[in-house]
Formats: sequence, structure tokens, C-alpha cells
Amino acid sequence: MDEASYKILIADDNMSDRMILTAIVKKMGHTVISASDGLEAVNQYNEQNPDIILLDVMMPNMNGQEAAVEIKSIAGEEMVPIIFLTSLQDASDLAACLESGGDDFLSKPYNPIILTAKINAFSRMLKMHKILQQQKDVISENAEHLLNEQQVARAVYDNVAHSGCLDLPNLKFLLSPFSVFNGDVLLAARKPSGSVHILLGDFTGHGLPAAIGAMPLAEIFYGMTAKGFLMEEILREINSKLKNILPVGYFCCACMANLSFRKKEMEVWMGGLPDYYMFRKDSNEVEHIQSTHLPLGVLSSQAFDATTQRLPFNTGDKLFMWSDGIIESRNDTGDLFGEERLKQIFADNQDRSLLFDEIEHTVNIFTGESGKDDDTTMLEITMVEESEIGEAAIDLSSGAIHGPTDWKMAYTLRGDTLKTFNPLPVMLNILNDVPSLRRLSGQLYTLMAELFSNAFEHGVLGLSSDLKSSTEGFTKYYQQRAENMENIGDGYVCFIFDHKPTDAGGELIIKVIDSGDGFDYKLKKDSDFKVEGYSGRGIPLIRTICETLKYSGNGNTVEVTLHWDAEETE
Amino acid sequence: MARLNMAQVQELKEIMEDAFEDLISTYIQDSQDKLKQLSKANFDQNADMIGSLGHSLKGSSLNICAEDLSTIFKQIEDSGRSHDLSTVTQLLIQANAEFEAVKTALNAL
Amino acid sequence: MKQQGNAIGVDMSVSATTNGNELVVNIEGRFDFSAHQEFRDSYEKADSNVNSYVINMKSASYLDSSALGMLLLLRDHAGGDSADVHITNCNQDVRKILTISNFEQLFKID
Repeated sequence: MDEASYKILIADDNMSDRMILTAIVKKMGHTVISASDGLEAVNQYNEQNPDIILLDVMMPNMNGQEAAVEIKSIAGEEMVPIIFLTSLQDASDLAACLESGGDDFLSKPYNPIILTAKINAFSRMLKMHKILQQQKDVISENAEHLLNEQQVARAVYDNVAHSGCLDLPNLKFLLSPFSVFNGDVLLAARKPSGSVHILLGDFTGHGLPAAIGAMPLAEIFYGMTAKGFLMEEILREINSKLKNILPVGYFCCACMANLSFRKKEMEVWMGGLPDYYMFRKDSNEVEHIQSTHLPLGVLSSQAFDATTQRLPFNTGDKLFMWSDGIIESRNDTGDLFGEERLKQIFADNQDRSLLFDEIEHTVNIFTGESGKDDDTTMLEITMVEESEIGEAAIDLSSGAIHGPTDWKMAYTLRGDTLKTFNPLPVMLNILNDVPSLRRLSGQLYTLMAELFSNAFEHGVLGLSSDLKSSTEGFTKYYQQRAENMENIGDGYVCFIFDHKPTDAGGELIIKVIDSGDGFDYKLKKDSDFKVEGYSGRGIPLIRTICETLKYSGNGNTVEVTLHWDAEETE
Repeated sequence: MARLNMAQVQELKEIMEDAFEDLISTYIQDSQDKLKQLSKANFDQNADMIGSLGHSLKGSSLNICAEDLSTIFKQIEDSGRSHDLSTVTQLLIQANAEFEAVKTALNAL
Repeated sequence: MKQQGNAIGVDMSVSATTNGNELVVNIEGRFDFSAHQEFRDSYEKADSNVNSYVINMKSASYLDSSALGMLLLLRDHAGGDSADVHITNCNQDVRKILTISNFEQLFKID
């Protein structure tokens, strides 16, 4: 039994007929408004907005059918059932009524039972329609909320990612503006030494769950890279973080790369992404770099393997990195783009500088209308001369205006710790406490990195950098490095920092002692220390940063000095 | 000849309750007016007018339970619609007569 | 005990059988996000004495990252590092995806 009370318009030109209908409808508990012709019916609809209309077909001024058309057009999306009152018998006449906008008809003589049943049926429909409208409104409101939230999330993410250097001249990339919500992340940042760290990540899932993982990942990446941490340390930290915050089954397929413009070398870690292609300028060949690790966020810290692959990367060489969006993209008929098509693009290509565009173009044509760049994330890295890249602008702003100017500190790493711990960020941090040294952060980091590398690899591990001059030697060098690391024993590297104020500003003396056998430095002349490439102990580089460089002991001790001028600092 | 469908009249009484008398007098007054208009329309040979008046009276008569009266008005309506007014005068005489009888029956309720 | 998966409009189904302490889960069609609930049900609703799992990919055509996630969930349920999960009868495409993700470090795969 229907509880709702509706407003019902009765339009009939015959008075007695109207009286009967009014009596029936009022008895049902509804309110009645009346009209005696079509025009009046339309006006009444406009003014009173009845819920249901009983409309006589034959009326003067405007007949029922015309009135119905008018009323339905005024009503628009709102539901207003119209029941035609008619003594028409002909089926085609009745059909014409319904076509003009009527929803039902009632014939004379008016049967109260039938009319009641019809009105009840329509009132049920009205209720349902109302519920649907409400749900529709809720849904569209929610959709709007979600869109707003996504925009806010994107803005937050952009702030986290702002310090990136994807705009470097040797990088070309393709990334959807909504990539965060596809789970795709592309980050690039410079280390204090000038090297570039790159991270391409592909989170499982879409939308906010994917974006949520991207933010701590970006923070760790940028923060640690700026402080001079190594790739392995950053990966370990990210893996640990993601393992903690993501639920089981969620992870991030990723590739991280470290590009050294000085050494013309690339270090790569890949977990869960399809093969990357490296184009070699000299041989014109394409090499594949494969994923050798599980994605980030799967393994515990103990089980995590941060081992990287090291490859020479010479001027003109190109590395192509991507998410699985290219291979997994589909066309209208559901076919996969697949790896074969990608290989074909590389095989057919005539001009390597056009490769990137050719890939983008081919994928777009393949996916046609159905796909967009939304899931295609791609990066091309070309190795260039260091001079083309410029220096890193590091912002390591920290508090103190007045720092320590007269101090001495020794820091020694021994045995197993020497094997696994990277002291550079810690030491750089201490030096940065001297405000004027902060502006020299980049140089200091580079200097300490060279000194440490010499002391560790050539000194403690006893490796000769001559090995690196050929490609096979390159691999052999790192193999031997790994072997010698196992036998480090009591090996050690010691850094001694001595900082004194001077009239002009300050003086920093860094002494590095290692436990190795040293080398016969007296025999070496300046010209023997090569400037470029990977041979030598980077002596010329050190010389450009420091004023003096002195070897002592058996060659296992080196001391450099560096002055800074108060006037030059702001 | 049964003027009114008594079973239907009973239902109508239940629907209208106190307003039943009002309904009867409205019907009678309205119908008398329309019958006069029909006469004039016939005199003017206005087929459309005859059609729509016939239609209206057919409907209201049916609602008031006077089926036979309604049938006569249907014939008048059809004549008007088809523009064949030859029988209208005759039908009008029948209608008026039948109406008087119905009126008496209604007033007796 | 055998459960039947449904295949309403989706190109996949999951079914499971138990042989003693081993649960065999058969994947048919595309192993993707739509299989989530069924896959989970197949091992969560199994007997509690099940201690070894075989995922039969014979009729599986395709595997995506959410399927990888589901496998990780199963491994977690089955005891994490001590889990005994064997993924078998993989076709070339399925194998490729598992290899790229280096899942053989966590599962027995053939």
C-alpha cells in the first residue's frame, strides 16, 4: 500500500468527468489540481509541478497530445507520468497517444480500481526514479571529490619531485602527466660529484595505492643522492621502506642507474622490468641489459641484493629505459605490441638520433584511438662529455651560520666495515658544518671520492686501474675487485681532517692513509698521470681542486691542502 | 429499457459519497447546455462541432452509467467526424428523449 | 575437495584439488586482477594440513603484475621463506614474465 501523497493534475474539459476523477484520486490520499483544456494543463504544470498527470485527449484550445508533448519537453530529465483519459478504441489511435509522450491510458467509464492500481504503479516508479537520481548525484559528487583529491596528490608529488634533473641535455623522456597514478615514476638527480642517478619505477596497481609508494621512494632517492650516498645504499633504503609500507603482493619493478661522465661508466640495478637496450656507437650494435633482481619491496632487508652491473658507457652510446607499458600496450583488437616489434624498430632504424621518436610514433600508431601515452614511460640516456653537462648545483642548506673553524678529526674504516660502509656522506656532512666549505661541497665530495677510491681499490685491494682500459679487462677488473674484497682481512682506510682558520679565510688539510703496499710515487712524473679515461689515480683531477698534493710513506699516504677565501663566499 | 447500469451507479455512489448529488446536478446541467449547443451546431451544419460535442457527451454519459444514451452520442460523434450529417437530426431526437428518461432515473436516486 | 571457479564474461577460471598435503591450483585463461578473489579462496579455504602448493599454469595464457602479487600473497600465506610453492607447466609468455621478475628466486618454476 502506497504511503506517499502526490500532487496529481486532472485535465479534462468535462465537468462531471473531472468530478469523478477528483473524488477517486482524493480518496487515495493525493492532492488534486485541475485544468479544463490543454493550455491550462501546461500552465498548471509550470506553476504547480504535479507528480502525475491525468490528461484528456480531446480538449479545446490545445488537445491532450499537444499538451503532453509540451509538458514532457518542459520536464526534461524529470519523470512525470502522463495517463491519457480516452474513449478511443482504435489501437493505432491509442498507440499515437503513447507516442506523443503518454505513459498509459485509462478508458471511460472510469473504473476506480483500475485507476488506483495505475496511480500506485506510477508512484512506485517515481520512487525508484528518485532513488536513482540520488545515487547518480552521489556518484558524480564522489567522482568530483576523487578528481580534486588526485589533483592535490599530484601537486604534493610534484613538490617532492621538483629537485629532479630530467631536463639535462643528454636525457630524452616520455612520461604521462598522470604517470604517478599509473604507478610509473621517473626520477633523475645529480650527486655532489656530478654523476647522475636515474630511477625508473613501475608500481603494481593504479591510482592512489601506486602513488602512495612513489612519494617516500622519491624522498629517499633525492635526499640520499644529494648527500652522496651510493646506489646500493639508496636501493637498500628504498627496498626496506617499501617492504614496510606496502601490503604483501604490492611491489615496485625498478631500474636504477648511476652515470659517471668522468669515468664514462654506468652502474645498473634492474628488478622486474623487461630488457633494456643499450646502443653502442662504435660497433653500432645493440646490447640487452637484463633484470637480475626481484622488484623492490618484496624481499626483507637481510635478503635484499643490491649487487649492480657495471658497464662501460662511452660518448655517443645510448641506453633506452622503459616500463613494461610499451610491450604490454594493446591495439583495438587486443593484440600485444610485444618485444618483437620493439626489436624490429631498432633493427630498421637508420639514424640513432631518431630512435626515440620512432619508438614513440610506432607505439602510438599501434594503439590507435584506444591507447594513449598514458602507460608509456620511456627514457633515452646518451653519454656526453662532462663539459656539456655542467656542474651540479647542490642545495644542502642546513642551519648554523657560525660553524667550527679550528678542529681536527680522524675517521678510520676497518675490515668488514670497510667492505660494506660508504663513509663519504658522513664525512661530507661534517665538512658542511663549516659554512664556507658548503659552497665547495661538490668539489670536496669529488675529492674525497677520488682519495677514497684510490686508497680502497688501489691501496687496500691492490687493483691496478690499467685493467679497465679494455672491455674484457673492465669485467675482469670488477671480478677481481669482488674477489679481493673477500680477503680484506685487517685492511683499513683512514681519513684525517685538519681545519684551521687563516687571515684570508681557512685551510683544510686532508690526509688519507691506507693499509696497502703503496706504489713508488717518486718514480712517477706528472705527465704519467693520465688526464682522461679510467687509468691513473685521478691525480690531475685532485690537482685541480687542491693547491698541494704530497705522497709519503711507501706511497700509501697522501696529503692534500685546500684554501678558501672569506671574500669569495657570500 | 434499462436507463442506468445500477451496479455501476452503486460504485459511483461509493466513490462520490456526499458529493453524489452534486455530481448528478452538474451532469444534468452540463448535458442540457451541450444538447442545446448540438442543436445549434446541427442547424449550422457544423460537423466538427457536432463531432466534439458528441464525443464529450458520449464520455460523460458513460461515466454517469447511462450506456444506451452514450451509444446514441457515439453515433452523433461518428457522423460529425465523418462529415455525414444526414442522420444527425433523427439521432438528436432520440438523444433528447433518452436524456429525459435518464434525468428522471437520476433524480430518483 | 574440488571447487569450481566462475567464468562470467572473464577469460579465466581457477579450480583446486587436494592430494594429501598438497594443494594443486589450476589456472585457466588470463591470470590477472579479475582472478583475485577466486585465487585467494582456493588456498584460504583449503584444508589446514596443506603444506605444499602446486600452481598449474598449463591452461594459463597470460600473467600480469597483479598475478605476481597474488603469487606473493600465496607464498606469504604458505609460510614466507619456508613456503613450498611450485609453479609448473608455464608456457613461453608466462615463463618470460616470471624470469624478468626473477621469481625463481622465490618459487620453484618449470
